[in-house]
Amino acid sequence: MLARVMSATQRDRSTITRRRFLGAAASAAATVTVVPRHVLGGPEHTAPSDTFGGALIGVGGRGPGTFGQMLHWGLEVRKLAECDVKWVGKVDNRTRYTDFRHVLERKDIDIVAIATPPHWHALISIAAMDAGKDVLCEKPMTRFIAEGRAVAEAERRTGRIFQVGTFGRLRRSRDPGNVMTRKIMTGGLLKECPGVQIQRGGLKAKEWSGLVNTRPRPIPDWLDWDMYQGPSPMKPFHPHRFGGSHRGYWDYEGGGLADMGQHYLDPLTWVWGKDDTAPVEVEAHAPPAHPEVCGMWGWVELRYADGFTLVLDSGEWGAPYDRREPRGIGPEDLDEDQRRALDQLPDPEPPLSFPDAVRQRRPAGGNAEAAHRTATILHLANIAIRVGRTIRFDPVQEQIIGDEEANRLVDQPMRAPWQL
Amino acid sequence: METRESKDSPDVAALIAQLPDADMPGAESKLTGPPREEARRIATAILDGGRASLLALIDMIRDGWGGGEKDYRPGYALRCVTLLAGEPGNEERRRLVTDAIVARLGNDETRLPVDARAFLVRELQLVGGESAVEPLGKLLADDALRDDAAMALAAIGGEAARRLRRSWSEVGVAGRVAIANALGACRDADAAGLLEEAASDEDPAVRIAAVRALARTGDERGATAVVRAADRSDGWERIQATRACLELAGRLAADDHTAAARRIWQRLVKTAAERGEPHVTAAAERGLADTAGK
Repeated sequence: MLARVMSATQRDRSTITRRRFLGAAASAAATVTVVPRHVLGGPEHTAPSDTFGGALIGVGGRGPGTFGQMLHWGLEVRKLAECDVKWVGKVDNRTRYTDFRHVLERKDIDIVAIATPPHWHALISIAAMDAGKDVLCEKPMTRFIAEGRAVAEAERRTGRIFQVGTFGRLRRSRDPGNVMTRKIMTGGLLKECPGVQIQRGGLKAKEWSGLVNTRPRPIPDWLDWDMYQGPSPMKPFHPHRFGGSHRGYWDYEGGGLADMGQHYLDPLTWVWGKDDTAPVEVEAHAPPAHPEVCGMWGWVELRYADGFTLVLDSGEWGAPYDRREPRGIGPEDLDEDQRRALDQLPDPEPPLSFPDAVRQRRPAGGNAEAAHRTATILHLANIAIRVGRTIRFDPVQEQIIGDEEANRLVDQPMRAPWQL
Repeated sequence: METRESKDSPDVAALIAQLPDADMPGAESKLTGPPREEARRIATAILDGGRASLLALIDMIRDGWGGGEKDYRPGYALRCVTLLAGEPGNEERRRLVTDAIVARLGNDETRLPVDARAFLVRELQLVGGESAVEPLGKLLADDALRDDAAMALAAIGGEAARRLRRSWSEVGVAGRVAIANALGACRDADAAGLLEEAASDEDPAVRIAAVRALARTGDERGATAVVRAADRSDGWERIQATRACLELAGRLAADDHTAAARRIWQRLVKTAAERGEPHVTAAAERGLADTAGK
């Protein structure tokens, strides 16, 4: 497949030079002609026009909203290209593509919005940053833990801006109580954290589970099924694996827990100062997971090394979680010396919005490292659900300790030609 | 042909029939599933039945999603067994499951549908150990199972890398791409020579896979090939090759091979300036600045 695509790449190389692109654009009514920012000042430089060339990869479902979010923020970004695997036979390779690699080759595109299913998020994000683009990527950030580490490394390696598509921490970081919690946690003032945070409901276990007893269907002629499957194992086609309901299959996502979890947990990882670490022990209450299909689960308890406990309770299977009650922390948990130390701590710098990060060339609030640590919570919860036993995790090595089978879900090999 | 049921084996079909129906029996449906204790009881009974019970269960799997002729139960039950056998400290049971799966993969008389065999290979990606390496290696020459086999070998690691290298000369372009990827995932430094040669292959897919794999091994011997690949390529291949250069330089610097890392960055600074790639220049200059004086 790649040989075919790369041949096409070489064919197209001459067609997507800047000169020819702009020439083609002039005759294409649907295309907006933009002087690329890199021509004006280079990607490390804020251009006089402040106008960015943009592309949307994955146009279904969340796609328009993800790209539109940038406009909502007031970022001057013009959509020069769109890409989707469901456009077989309907592309011009100037404004519409089925292969994201052609989009990333273009030097007039500065920012890429990614709204594909999550099994593509990491690979496209990394490739985009290596091609010099900034990235706004839908949540969940990744499909498994090692992908997140690779995205964070790419962010550091390339110096590009990455923002995951959830923004709750921007608002929650303005709350004085949350600022206080963060200062206590990041200031290292508590030897043992008594905090318990419980997320009850909203995790769509049933709604976003997959189907069993399915039978393969013919692949629609408008769909590049091989490209859709991408780095995941090749499976027979079924329409439920595509177009939103993909959330219910381990090949593409991790059910409602993975899909909704990043929304709920992104602010919490900031508030509780967990942007650079991960839970060390995870226990799940769930029926055995199907090998292909994300299904039902009751609750997951995740404990951090400092004692902080995070609970996800679906409220949709088995008895509700009743081991602990929610508990915040505050100055009352500190002794006199610690309170004095707390008073001396500066307030944390508010997380930066994506537009500000792009303009200032500083990490966004939902940067890759932070987003990876939030996604890690979701993936650890799902691994505990999938293996059905308590797992222990090393947040530094990012490995599950003493359980090889569970650890193989941390870093899953990819189907050729894709590799992390 | 191997015996499917020994005299003392449990009735596997009857056992898995005790698993609950899908939520809408007879239809494509969501699955609430059994209580964990109930699933464990059934999986334990199958495992206690030994190899014959496992083979009987495996023979019921008919499709690529683990389903049987009528419903989801066979593949689901095998996953329950796989997870039970994969519990830490259960090496004997894990080997038993691995060997049963391997037996069916290599048995022509009981040949399962290809999608079912692919499902079994993916189970080996989760549970397989060294005893699965040779049987999986043979599948690298099978177009239908090659990619799943390569992924399973990458997951197993260790001895699997040697088997992957051994297959290199026996496979075509797609096989070599899959093997190079798997060697990269294994971080197999012993593959440096093979990958170095592959980095100049006439096929771009092989070149890209080899260059990326070389970067993942972090071996200094790959530096020349990776830099040469970046110099010679354009478009998507150039993006992947410059990524490989930056990754390899970063790994070399972290391992105190600073001079080798700096040579890569210096070359990138030069070529990226010529090609109008300021983001590559900036990334390489950061590497040089971070290692200045080291």
